[in-house]
Amino acid sequence: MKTEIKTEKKKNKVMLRQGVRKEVLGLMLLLPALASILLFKYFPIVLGVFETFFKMNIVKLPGEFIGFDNYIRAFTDKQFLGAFLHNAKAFCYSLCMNFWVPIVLAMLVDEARRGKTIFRLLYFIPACAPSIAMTVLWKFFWQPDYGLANYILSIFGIPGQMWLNSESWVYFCIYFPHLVISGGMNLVIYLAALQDVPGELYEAALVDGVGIFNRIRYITIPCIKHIIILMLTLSIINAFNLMENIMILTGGGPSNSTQTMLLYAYQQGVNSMDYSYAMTMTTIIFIVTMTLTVVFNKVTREKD
Amino acid sequence: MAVIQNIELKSRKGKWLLRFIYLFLVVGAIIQFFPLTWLFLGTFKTNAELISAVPSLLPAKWSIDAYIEAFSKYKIWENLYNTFFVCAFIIIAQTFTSTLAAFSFSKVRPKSGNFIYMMFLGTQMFSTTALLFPTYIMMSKMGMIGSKWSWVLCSSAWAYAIVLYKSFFDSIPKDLIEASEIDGAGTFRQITNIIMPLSKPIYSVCILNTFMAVYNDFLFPLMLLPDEKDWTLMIRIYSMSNTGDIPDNVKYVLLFVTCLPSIIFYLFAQKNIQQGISTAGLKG
Repeated sequence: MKTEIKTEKKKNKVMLRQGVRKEVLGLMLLLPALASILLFKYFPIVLGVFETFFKMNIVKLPGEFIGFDNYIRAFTDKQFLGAFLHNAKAFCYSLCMNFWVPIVLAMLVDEARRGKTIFRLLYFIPACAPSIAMTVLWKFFWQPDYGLANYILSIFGIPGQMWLNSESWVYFCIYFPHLVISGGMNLVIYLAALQDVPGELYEAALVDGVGIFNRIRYITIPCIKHIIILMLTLSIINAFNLMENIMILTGGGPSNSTQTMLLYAYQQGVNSMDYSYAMTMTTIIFIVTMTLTVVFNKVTREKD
Repeated sequence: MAVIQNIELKSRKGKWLLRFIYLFLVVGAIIQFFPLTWLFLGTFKTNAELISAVPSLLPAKWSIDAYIEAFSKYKIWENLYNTFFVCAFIIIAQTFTSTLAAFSFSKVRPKSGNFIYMMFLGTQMFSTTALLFPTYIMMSKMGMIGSKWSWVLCSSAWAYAIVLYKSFFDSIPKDLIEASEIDGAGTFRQITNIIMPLSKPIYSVCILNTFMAVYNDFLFPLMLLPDEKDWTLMIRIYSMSNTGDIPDNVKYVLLFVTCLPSIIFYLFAQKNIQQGISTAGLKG
């Protein structure tokens, strides 16, 4: 009896020691990643939101407390509100020009009986080039004097356009390159999703005499719907975080017609050194994007 | 799976439809490839040819003067060196932090692990831009603006990679770890001798992902590395796109040199990357 209790106690002790060891070891292993994430991800975010309530003084942080003044300033800033509309416009362009093309192309590639992998590779390789490099290249194409775009128009006898310098063409010029830049990558994603659509469904539909378009509508689209929704969410996020392309192609012009929220924030931060205002705007952009994403996901979920 | 069934293709209408699809795909592929081809051929042209009103696809005379000028006069070597230097150290740092963290999440499973895991996942929601200014302020307080290490430190852990590693380590049977423990292997030996050799595919995917992310990163180096001698390729091509001093054919060379490494890397790991893309796409 006594020995049994003793061994039981010993067992408990060993288990306890093992538990402690596990805990310590686990945390030790997590330490490098945890330190990095806390210091370089969470700390800046908290610092950024904290500073929005101050008039920042970079020599003596955090500066002077001003409450919600930065937010009031942003919501009454006409340029910032205009920039929001530019972002919304950019989203409409990306939806109308870019969003559906990779889906259609992926379906067509999927129809190819031979050379499917070759087609996939052909569409994929150009998309691997860094988007910034490609955007700079397209700037040469849109050049009004000797650019390729105007040359191609002149072959058909159409007068040249100002492209990036004309307010009516500028969004087209920003989003057209993305058919190549991000289109190829999206095509590969859709193509991967299309591989998971069960082939028997199509066979059964054919036996029932369902036409090709109805097959696409009632079988293909519902089967890849989750990817489509995901990509749509990503395109919302991208459109409201649009900046790098604009910086390269137009720098916000012509006459501020492409100044996006983020570009405005960047300019306020870098050119005017108004960091707390810039951070206020990035915080607002973050909240706007999050809200849009959540609302969008809720709406699409409810429909199911 | 194909929408159009094989039986349908035997009819005349189906045959024409398929031919039309092929035609469309070939035209599309040509359009997709056009900018890169134009860029490649442009590097061999003279500057006068590039800015002439009547452009031609093929260069009139193939010359490599632009390459010589770009590499001798405009210090592409320096930019290439900077880019690869930072890429290498970030890859090393991330591989180190994520391997240890993923091993802990997957095999050691401390009680607080779940909470920390959720915390890591949360960082995926932070946008780069929200981090940009605070990081800049923090780094300037630490006096690290202009040092490449500031960028390396900022990117030393990536939650996305940790998640990928963890899900892969989960598929390695726990028995292997327990058996090695009985044989007296320490945690370090377990990671280097059991986990790492078994996880080669995920290592290649994650390293490539990191490489591409760092290689294409634009805003962080732009803010953190203001000195011209520290510029990466991306910053170099951004700054040159705004100046008129550099001849166009040299700009083309710069662009082409920037595109080349990423295309080569993608081709190398084409299959792995596509798997990575599709799983990342599904997980969001």
